[in-house]
Amino acid sequence: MLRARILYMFLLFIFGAMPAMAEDTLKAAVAANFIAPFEELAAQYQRQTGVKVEATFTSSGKLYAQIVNGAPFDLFLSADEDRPRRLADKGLCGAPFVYAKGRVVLFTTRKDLCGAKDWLSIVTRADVKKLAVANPETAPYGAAAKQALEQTNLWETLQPRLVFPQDIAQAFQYAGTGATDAGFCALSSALTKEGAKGCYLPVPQAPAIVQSGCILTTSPHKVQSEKFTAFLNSPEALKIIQRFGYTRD
Amino acid sequence: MGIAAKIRLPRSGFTIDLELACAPGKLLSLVGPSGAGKTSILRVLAGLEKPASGHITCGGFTWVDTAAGVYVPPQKRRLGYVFQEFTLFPHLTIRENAAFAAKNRQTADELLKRLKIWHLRGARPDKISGGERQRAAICQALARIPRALLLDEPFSALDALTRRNLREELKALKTELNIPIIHVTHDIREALYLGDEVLPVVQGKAAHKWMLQFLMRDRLSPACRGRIDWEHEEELYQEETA
Amino acid sequence: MIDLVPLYLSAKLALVTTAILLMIGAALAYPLAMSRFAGKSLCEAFINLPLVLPPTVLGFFLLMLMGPRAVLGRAWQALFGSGLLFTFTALVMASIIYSLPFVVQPMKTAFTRIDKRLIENAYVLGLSPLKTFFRVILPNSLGGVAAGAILVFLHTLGEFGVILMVGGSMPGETKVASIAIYEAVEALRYQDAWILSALLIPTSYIFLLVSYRVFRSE
Repeated sequence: MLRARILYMFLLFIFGAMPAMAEDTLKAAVAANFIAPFEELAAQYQRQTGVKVEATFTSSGKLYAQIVNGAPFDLFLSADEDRPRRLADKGLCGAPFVYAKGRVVLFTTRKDLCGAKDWLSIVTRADVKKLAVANPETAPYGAAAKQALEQTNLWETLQPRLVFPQDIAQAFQYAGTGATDAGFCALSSALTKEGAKGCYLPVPQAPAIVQSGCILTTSPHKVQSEKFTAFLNSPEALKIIQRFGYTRD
Repeated sequence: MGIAAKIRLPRSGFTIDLELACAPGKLLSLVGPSGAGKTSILRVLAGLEKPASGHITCGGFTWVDTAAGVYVPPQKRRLGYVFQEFTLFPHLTIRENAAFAAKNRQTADELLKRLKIWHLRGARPDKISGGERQRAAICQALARIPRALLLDEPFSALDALTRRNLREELKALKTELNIPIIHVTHDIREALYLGDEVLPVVQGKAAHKWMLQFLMRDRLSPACRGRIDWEHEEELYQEETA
Repeated sequence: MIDLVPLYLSAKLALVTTAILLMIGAALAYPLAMSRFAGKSLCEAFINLPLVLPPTVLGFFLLMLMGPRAVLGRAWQALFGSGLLFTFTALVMASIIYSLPFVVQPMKTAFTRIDKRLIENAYVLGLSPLKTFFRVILPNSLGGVAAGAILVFLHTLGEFGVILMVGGSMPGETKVASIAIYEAVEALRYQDAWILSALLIPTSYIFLLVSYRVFRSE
């Protein structure tokens, strides 16, 4: 009898505490490439306001599918502009806003390639057998890389050498571990500690990746979400994301 | 030039230690209670087990000589072996079973006819009776023109009538084949009926003549019974097998 | 028009893997079933490892092994002049490891169920252990062989995590159906995803039918 009472109290405590936790926590769906800057932004925000922002990091495509099927997020930070726009058109989220712009670089851990004058001279080398390009259909950084290759008339000729990891993180993993000779990655990845083990070259032919986000209409914390969005647009936030290789305009 | 063997093989609880010999055209019956090691002896003769020490010769060939390090694998001994069951291959017909390792097809077919199961040649082993299966097993073993034939309780799983018929067949075959035949059984009547020589085996050793009487105890005529001191026999038996 | 090449690649991978694994599986199942030797349970546990490892872990491990700077990758490069990672061959190797326990277990069970006396009889009748395997053991284990083949085929058709790591999704070479379906979902091409998924079912069914015909005579 006593044991039952203790269990009951325990459960009450857990469930009772949960709404309290929800008061101070926002749930964000964040594109995988934005992990590092987001964690710092969230930490800074919590220091300032005491509000915790929890994030789920995975590919924008998966996050989109989850949101369309009713996943309980407050915010969606995508790696592209297309998906937030689609959600807005469906009425699933509010007006999209741009929170960061990323750049594609060619990253490699092969030291013998680091002195090259530009990325083109690397990818056309005979001894560069495999190149990682994140799936252009689903990864915006991969799509940007594809555009660069198409512009320089290399897309068709390089096909046999292209390997298509599912997302930009896997592309960085392939290039970073030497599974591929080089890979088209996010600048932010190249600037990490892992990235310092290799070198990167800019790919000017690849357009900047405009990353936009939106607040979900089903969010129970609209006010808090808007406050966080305002923070994302602040100069303070800009300084943080710049350190990770992002710009805003 | 028959089989001659001297085998020593430890078992759990006792050690098999005996000599045996069997001339061509003769049948030697190994008889004794279950667990006496009779099957092990047969397996050693066939090459399915290695003795701790000993030697085995057959038809002039030396199969085993532990002192000289000679050991001929079962494949090379050209023996016939009939198990109590699971001799025939279930995925083959009777005819295919007989021909499995036969010298040639005709030999196998003739044996099937000789053992009166030619009409079953297209059947699978699980579709025919136990007695017919053992006939087929004998065909399979003999089709190879073996140098010797070993039978391990071949009729124990059969009914009395079938057993009798098969015993007759085996007895008739014995004179035709002119090879040594060693046959293991726990049935003393069968041993006495078939064997030109009978070797009682108790706990791995050849038993002496009073032990044979002991084994025959329930078959002995009442006229004998009174004259044997069974208590004393029992003691001697315990001593012998200790 | 939907691209059906991934379906063809999946079927090809499954068939090749099944054919190779039937041989490797038999070679491994035979000593496990027939003999006792030191370290036997260690071997069995090792063979069954892919059962408990998450596919992505296994895939990651293989990625590390097959890379151009790694042990296996370098050896392959030296032997064949081209890389191992991101090729169809890499997928076959990964699939073999991934599905190994699924073929060894049923075969081992089938072999153990054969009465030892049948095997001994074969020896006495003059067959070497190798000939006995093909003429006695195998024909009496067809049920186990069929079970193994079916399990491996279906398991390989559905393989995803391992292939995700070592395949690289190269169209026409390593982009198998499971990857293509995943990408179709990611790219919001839901209809393509449905069609490919639906087509996997008859592929499996045909194989099951063929297996039952070939391996089970009753």
